Amino acid sequence: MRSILLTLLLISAAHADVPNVTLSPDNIAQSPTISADIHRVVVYGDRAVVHRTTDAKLTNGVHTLRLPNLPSTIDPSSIRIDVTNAALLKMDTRLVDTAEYLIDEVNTLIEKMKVLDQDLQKLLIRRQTLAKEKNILQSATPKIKKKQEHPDSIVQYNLQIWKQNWTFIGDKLDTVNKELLEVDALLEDKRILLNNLQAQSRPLLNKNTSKTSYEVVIVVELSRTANIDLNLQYTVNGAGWVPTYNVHYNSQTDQTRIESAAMVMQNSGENWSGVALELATSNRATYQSLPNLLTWTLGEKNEYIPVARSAKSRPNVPLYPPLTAQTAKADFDKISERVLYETKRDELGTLSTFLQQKISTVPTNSVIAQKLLEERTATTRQASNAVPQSALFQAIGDAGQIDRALEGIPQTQYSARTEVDFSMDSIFMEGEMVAKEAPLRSARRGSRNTTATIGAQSQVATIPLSLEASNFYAPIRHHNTTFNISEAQGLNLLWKAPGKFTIPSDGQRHKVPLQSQSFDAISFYEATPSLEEVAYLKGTVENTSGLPILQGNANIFLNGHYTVQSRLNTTKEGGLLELPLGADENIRIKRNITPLQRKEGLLKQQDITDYTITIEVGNYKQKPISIRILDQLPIAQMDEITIEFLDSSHTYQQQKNHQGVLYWDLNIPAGQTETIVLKYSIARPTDWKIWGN
Amino acid sequence: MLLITLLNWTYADTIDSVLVFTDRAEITRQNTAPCSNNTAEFTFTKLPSTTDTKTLRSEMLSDGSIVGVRHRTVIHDTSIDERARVLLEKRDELTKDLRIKTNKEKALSKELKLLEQYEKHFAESLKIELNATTDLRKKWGAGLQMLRSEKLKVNDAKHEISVDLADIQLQIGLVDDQLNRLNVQPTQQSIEATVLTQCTGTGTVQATLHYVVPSASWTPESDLFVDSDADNVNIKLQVSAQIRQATGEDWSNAKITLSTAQPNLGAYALYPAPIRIKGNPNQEQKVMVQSTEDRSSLGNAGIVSRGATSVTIDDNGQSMQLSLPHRTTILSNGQPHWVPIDVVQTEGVVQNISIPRATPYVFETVRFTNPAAYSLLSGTMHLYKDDVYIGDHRHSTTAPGEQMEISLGTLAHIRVERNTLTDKRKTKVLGKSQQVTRAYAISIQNNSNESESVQIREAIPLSKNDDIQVTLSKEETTGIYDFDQYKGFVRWSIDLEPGKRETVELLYHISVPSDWEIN
Repeated sequence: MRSILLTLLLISAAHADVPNVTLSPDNIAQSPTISADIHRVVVYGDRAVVHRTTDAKLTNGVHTLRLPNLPSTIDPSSIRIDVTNAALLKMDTRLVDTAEYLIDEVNTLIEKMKVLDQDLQKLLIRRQTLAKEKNILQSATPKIKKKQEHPDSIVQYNLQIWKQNWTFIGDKLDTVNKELLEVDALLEDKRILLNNLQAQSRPLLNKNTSKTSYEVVIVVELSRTANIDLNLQYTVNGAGWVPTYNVHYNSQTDQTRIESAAMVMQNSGENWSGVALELATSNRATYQSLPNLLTWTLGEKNEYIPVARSAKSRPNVPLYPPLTAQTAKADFDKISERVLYETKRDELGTLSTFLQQKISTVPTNSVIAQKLLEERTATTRQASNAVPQSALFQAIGDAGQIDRALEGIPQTQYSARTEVDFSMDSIFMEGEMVAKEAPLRSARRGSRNTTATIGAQSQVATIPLSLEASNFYAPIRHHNTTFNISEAQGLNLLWKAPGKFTIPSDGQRHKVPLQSQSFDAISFYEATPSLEEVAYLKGTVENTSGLPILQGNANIFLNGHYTVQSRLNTTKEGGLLELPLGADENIRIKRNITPLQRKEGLLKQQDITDYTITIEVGNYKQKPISIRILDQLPIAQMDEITIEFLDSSHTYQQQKNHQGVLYWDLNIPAGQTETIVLKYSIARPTDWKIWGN
Repeated sequence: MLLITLLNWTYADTIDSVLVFTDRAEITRQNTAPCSNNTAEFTFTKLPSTTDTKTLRSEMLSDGSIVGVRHRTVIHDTSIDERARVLLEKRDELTKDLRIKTNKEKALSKELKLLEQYEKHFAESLKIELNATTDLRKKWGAGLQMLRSEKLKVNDAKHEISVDLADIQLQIGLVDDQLNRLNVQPTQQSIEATVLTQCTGTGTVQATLHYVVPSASWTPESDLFVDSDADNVNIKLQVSAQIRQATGEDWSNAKITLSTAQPNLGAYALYPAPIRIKGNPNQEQKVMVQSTEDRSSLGNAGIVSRGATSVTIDDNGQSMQLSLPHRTTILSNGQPHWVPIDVVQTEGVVQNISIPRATPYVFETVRFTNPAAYSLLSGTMHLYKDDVYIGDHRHSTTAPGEQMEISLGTLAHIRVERNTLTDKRKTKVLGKSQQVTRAYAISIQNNSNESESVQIREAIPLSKNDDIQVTLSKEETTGIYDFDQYKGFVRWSIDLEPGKRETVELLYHISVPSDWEIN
């Protein structure tokens, strides 16, 4: 029992320094809700910042609090909270549904509209069928056949039958016309019904009646029981103000009095009641960053600036894919309900528009329709006498004309153009302001950006590590970098795995540990500013294990955390391994190259360009660093071209077979910046054009 | 036994800590197992199927050593959410219904076409039969009636089906939406990792398992509060982080650490290839061209030796690690979780700057050095001046102690005008050169009731070729100015009385050989 208690004590002690701040849906649901009233609103031209305050008395410890019912129109990234007398540990913003949706009301209206659609469709089809029938009857004229083509024609001439047939056609036409008018009257009824339904739908279709709202969940920690003050602020769109003035001029005294006021409008979804109102002129849309003034240079079109390129590009291994937002399963039902409501609301809106369009395809004949409506109420009147046939024909003809006439009315065109403010473009239209990008800077910036882009696609760099590291802090030993243990010239090595293992016959790879040994590593930084203005940490390790390290993949962990995958080459005892450890952005590097072209010589004139390379290395870390900076001198490929090293502010070094590459090894104290200046020149016969690579 | 149960209850295969990078997270789980025959086996279940298995690594927390880690993929077909199963069934039914109704609609359309053909045939027949001497009225009446009723019947049926089809499609859309939100996949998979260890004794031992998963990230955010009412401009920088994850497992009650490492920058410095220079005689017309260069300098780095207010900072060699002081839960829903990191205060210098060459506005700016003890990763900084939000500033990664110059917006009460006074080109009669002369007048008007100071920044071109000579005319350039010969910047500091206007003039000459073309 004592051991149990001891264990529990140990467990609680182990966790004592890390109080829990768990925000699971259950915890949030159980946490208390506090309301914060709006006490101050700052209105801008295009938005408003709402300030809410509240206070609460809390005991010492960690507390989770909810501030609900913030309008769904707010910009969630703008939510900020200040807490006094407590430490704010965490804040989550959740979109929640605060009320049940009026989905039944929407569904009822949809059903009514569907019935209306059904009736309307039937009437339209009926109308179409009648119109077709009328067409058949109107176009029913006896065909005259040539006798020679129809020698056995059954056609005979009988006046009684002829009259009878034409009476039949005329009667049928009258009937069809009456039926058509009946249909039009019914369509008029439907039109009225649609208007009523649309009027009922309108409030539901207004999206500002959304029942969603934001809830801010915060976690605070108090060291003692205290009253805490919470100040919450957030930005809402859909608010703004414009100034307005009353100008009073007194012609007797020549005095003018100007009264100014502000027209404030807001549709943020919440009322600002009894708040302190401030009106500000700043406009987020017009905020401007300070332009970066660049050095403006003039040169000759064919001026050459050496541009570095990498001897070997980094493998383009894709980064881990970006994450995509998912819905919490806990919110699933509520969100489904909201989506259903929104879908149904959209359906109602679509249906309403659709029916409006559908009914508008029928020409309104209000005179006739009205008459018929009146007719239907007068029970004693005979339908046949109500409208003379000629009038009916005339009316239908008129309706057609009205329809055609309506087609000719042009639609109102609304222009999207507004007054144009003073445009920056006009400033940049000045000729001297459009400067051509310098090839070097362009390339360098491109290089940096390209790295970022490539980097954005590459996640685990699998790079070969050379057998011999170029660590300048360790004595250089030369080994055969192509040494392959599988062709080890008679060398046979045997590793005995510790313990016993079961390797199932499943075709899978099973990791079996062989040995673990610690080495002293030396770390330093390395950078090639002409390619990237980034410093990389690099470790070098001497293999003192007594056994060679075989070629294979290596997962590199920095301080116990996985950093990158690399590849180790075979390294004999005493050999050096390089360990790439990643970029350090606390070391800042800037490189500039400035060319200056001149002429030299009288008889044999030459064009000479002097290049001055300035490399600044800033150590923004809290400890001194050792860093190797690489740069290079170009190599002349033609006898007519001469490249001359002029000067270096620091002593540089070159490796064997350097191909123009040189490096400086620097020790920079914490908080210091070191500047390297390298000068060289390229001479060639005058009026030559030169290029690199 | 009770002790074992209690320990298992406390530590059984739980996520202990998470290290969040900008593109991934490293998870550390803890587990316990009994030691038997000097070996212990730990099983860690339901690791996300997206786990980067090459990063699986284990450590012993008790005495003993790791023998190995093996893993396998487990298929959980039965683990599909019940709601998803119901939805999938509903979708199947709806799809079936949709197919049946679509076929019916096709059949009705065909029937309608037949009726239309019959209608044409009837109209033609009627025209002929009107010539007949027999009484065919009954036949025609019946024909018309039948045609009408058939058309109405088929059209009604067709419309009913089209309404049904629209409704079915709407329902399928709703079901798909719900399935998407449930993130249902054909099969649910996970990784199961087993850690084999050597141990001593017969008690329980503990081990951790580390693995890397994608779909996790954190982005820095900062708010800069500038209090300009004070004699010295006080600056408060509030740094925070938005953590998001959709790894497939919730990080419940875990220790969270944020890493500033930038994996997208790569792991090692690139090595330059040799630059080999070639050339040939060039007969092309010489042309003067212009370009721009960034000749800004770093300035001196500054030492910041303090920590952060809300997190613990560790220098990880090439990056910083910011550990949140409390255990927290980050759900696997991709939604952002905001956590404060630090609040630091410093002093800054407010200056009004005008760059008339680029823009006709005067900017109020604040200059200060990054007061945080760590790099501010590139991102958006929300700016507040005297508690009023003024806009967002995008900044690149800024090291601790590195200088920042940030616009606080434009000053509407100070007007700037830049007028070209001279822009002419002439070829010297005696010499062999052509000369371009340019002059500008920059006027600044203070429309306020208070004095203002404005720094005007202009640039004149710098020559990179001896044949091109650029001269700043010291006699005709007015006012007291500084000229930076390396950058080509001309700066004036002007004090403006209330309602006053000041004008400075800038004049320079460019001399180019007469046979050169000027682009």
